[in-house]
Amino acid sequence: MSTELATTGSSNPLAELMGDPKPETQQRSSLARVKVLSSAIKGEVELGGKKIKTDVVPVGAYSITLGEDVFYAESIEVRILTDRLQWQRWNSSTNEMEKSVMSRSVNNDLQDSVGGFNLGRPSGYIEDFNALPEATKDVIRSVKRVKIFMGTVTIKNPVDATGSPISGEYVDIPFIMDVKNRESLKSIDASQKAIARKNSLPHMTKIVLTGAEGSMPTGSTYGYPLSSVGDIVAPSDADDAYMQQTAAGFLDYIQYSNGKIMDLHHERSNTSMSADDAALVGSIIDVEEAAY
Amino acid sequence: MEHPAELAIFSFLQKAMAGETTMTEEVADKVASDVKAALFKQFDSGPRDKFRLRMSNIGKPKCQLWYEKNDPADKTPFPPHFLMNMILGDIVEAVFKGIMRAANVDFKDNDYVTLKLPNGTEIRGEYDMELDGKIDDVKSASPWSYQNKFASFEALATGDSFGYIPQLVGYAEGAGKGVGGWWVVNKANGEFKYVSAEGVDKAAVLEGIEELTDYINEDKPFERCFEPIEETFYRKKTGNLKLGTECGFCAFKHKCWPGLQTIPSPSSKAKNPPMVDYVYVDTQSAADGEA
Repeated sequence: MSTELATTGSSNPLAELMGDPKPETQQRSSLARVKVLSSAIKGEVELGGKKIKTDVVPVGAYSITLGEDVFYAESIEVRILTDRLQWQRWNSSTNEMEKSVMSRSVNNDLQDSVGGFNLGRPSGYIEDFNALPEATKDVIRSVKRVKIFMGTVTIKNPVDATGSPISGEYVDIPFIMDVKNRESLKSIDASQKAIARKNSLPHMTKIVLTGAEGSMPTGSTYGYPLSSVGDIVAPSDADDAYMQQTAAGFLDYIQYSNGKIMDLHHERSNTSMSADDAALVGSIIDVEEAAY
Repeated sequence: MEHPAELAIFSFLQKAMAGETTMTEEVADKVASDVKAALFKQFDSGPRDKFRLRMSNIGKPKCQLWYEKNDPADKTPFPPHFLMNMILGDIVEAVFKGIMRAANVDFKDNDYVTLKLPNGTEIRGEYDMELDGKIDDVKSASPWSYQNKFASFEALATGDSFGYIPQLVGYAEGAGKGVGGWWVVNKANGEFKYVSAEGVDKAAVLEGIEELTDYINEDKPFERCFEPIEETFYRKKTGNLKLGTECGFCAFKHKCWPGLQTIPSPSSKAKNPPMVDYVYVDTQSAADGEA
């Protein structure tokens, strides 16, 4: 297995893997995008000579996108190197995922890609949600706090979209995963704290992620991750070097991605004055000076 | 984790705990010589020169710097243990750098730089290290500061009472390097982390520094930068006015606020109530509370 974080041969391969324009000479990447399935993948299985439709990949299973390949697993093992928080909102009219910069904390105002802060979500403690204007409530409801986990993933027993086992070894592949669900975040946080209590470095103990199915009042279902503490990784110089290299790639990606959001923030914040406005302000200043 | 070198240092310390690695004599000698130099700097460099703007003070509030320059006699002297605190910081920096060297983290050591501003002002200072083409600073922090001030760059920017951000930007600009971040060591238990300053608006910070130098160099009239804040207890106003964090650390707070009273918080139910700097105490409200 290649120990390179990404192999697209570009100056910022991680960014391309996250959806930015790809170079003409794109090669296979080694960064996995991990998601939890919110709806099962249906397929046909033969039972007693009859073909019946069933869930071949259930809700709560993980979808792993690695370059052109997409495969699935009901359980994965991750080693978390770093995580960041971000505000996100899907804008259906522009088909754009609006985002704030990624940060260690959302307790402070974060610049966002629409030229404001926190995607318009008020910062600080809200004493009485019900007392807020409806428009503000809508903003709070629509803007999601997302935790982005970055590290390496090991996938045992992967299957394809028909539920058939696939060959291949997927060990310590760099991955990115967004988690919004509160229960999932609590569950992963509990595992991280358990690892810290053992005085182990976060990436030196695996976290086992499985999935569960939740339901909404409307009756629709969704999948969400659950976690538990896995095995300790035997330390080695080769592993140290690989994890440091992987971590450096993620930090470069965070910097690049935040830079792009900041560019959009400046572009859309509309703080610059037109020439006419500047002339108007200039004339007001002249008047003030004349008065003294 | 905000810097790959964090992993290298953690890994080195883990191996050291397991007895699987050592510190070379060369590295240990460097730590010892750094500590020796720090002790001479603290004890044998005589009294400080007349006030001047330095990298380490350009981020401080301008009202405080105004007093430093124009009214130094009214400065509340630092307690004797302040020197001990400074030495502890120097020792932490020397040992931390030693551990970085032992962990094969490749960095360039401290150096003097001069920041030349468009208004002609030159500010000198000495940065701690250059790592990956960026300037980093080593800070030893109290547990509270480690958890809260250095929670993230944004948290630090919200309440940068000591001006760490302008200091780092000044070093980086003076050195012609990128702005890195802070290696923060918790003085109470030795835990450490890297806080990246990648989100910094460098141009705005430099503009603020230039504005400050204009104010100080041109001897403009004194302007108080902060107002007292209303004290609250369990989210209810007590009627008292107290100084904010920035003023709490200022050595000129008594000069700036002549009626200042530093007393135990009247609202607190703690066995040892915290000492608070009050500009105004609502005695009626306090009496009602006691009744």
